Amino acid sequence: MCTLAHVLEAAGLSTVVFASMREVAEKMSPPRVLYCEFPLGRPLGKPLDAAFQREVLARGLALLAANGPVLETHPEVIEAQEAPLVCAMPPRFDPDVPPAVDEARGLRAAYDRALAARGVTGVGRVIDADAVPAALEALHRWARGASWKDVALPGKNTVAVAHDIRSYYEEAATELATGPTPGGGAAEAWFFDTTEAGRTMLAARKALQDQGAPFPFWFYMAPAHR
Amino acid sequence: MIGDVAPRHFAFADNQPDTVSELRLDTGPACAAELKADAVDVVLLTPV
Repeated sequence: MCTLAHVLEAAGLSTVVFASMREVAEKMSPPRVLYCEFPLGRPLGKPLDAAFQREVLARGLALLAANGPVLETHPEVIEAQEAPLVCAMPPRFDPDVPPAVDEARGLRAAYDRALAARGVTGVGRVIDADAVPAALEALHRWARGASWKDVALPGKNTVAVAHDIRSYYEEAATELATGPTPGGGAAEAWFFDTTEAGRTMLAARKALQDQGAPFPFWFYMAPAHR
Repeated sequence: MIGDVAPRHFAFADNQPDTVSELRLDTGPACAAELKADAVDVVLLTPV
């Protein structure tokens, strides 16, 4: 982002960087930086709070009046909230399929409502919503000891499939979650800590590691700290 | 404070090669040209 600022400035545009990593901004020294200690993924701090977002933008735009390189810090710090979303989940329905498969099927109506409401979806890098249960079934079998070389994963690319499954779940959750606006880490915590799919994904990731699968195959299926 | 919001916005993947050479020599300047074609004066860069 700081590199891009230099490139755009060289072309005659004026830039303001809203930085989330102070050390990088200091090292790269683009002309105008507002360092904001907000949760990653929330560059303007507070979702659905137009007044707060406008204040952040105004603070950044005010840097256009500065002459030399300037790095200011937004005075408010917002910590990531790791408490999981509060989200109703479908009860167990078909005891003959793995829990994650049952769960994903049960979330389909909510996913469809979310898609209709938003008009866009993050699902579809390598699999569509129809394939999510089958992908979870393959992950379940890996987690239970099947070799990743013997049991094919729909979509093949483990990292992209993990992205599609998480998108499916988190978009469905937007239709089901209740309570106040969730914190920055709430959806991730909900997925990995409370859903069958999240547990299955982490178990499959561990199984891949134990089976000696290449590092990039399994490591990037989940955030590094998990 | 601002006249208008530009008709387009641009996004870049974070996982650039170490030299950032494409961004510096290819995609970055191409993005600048597109922004200027849209009569953009100021660019706000945000991470996601």
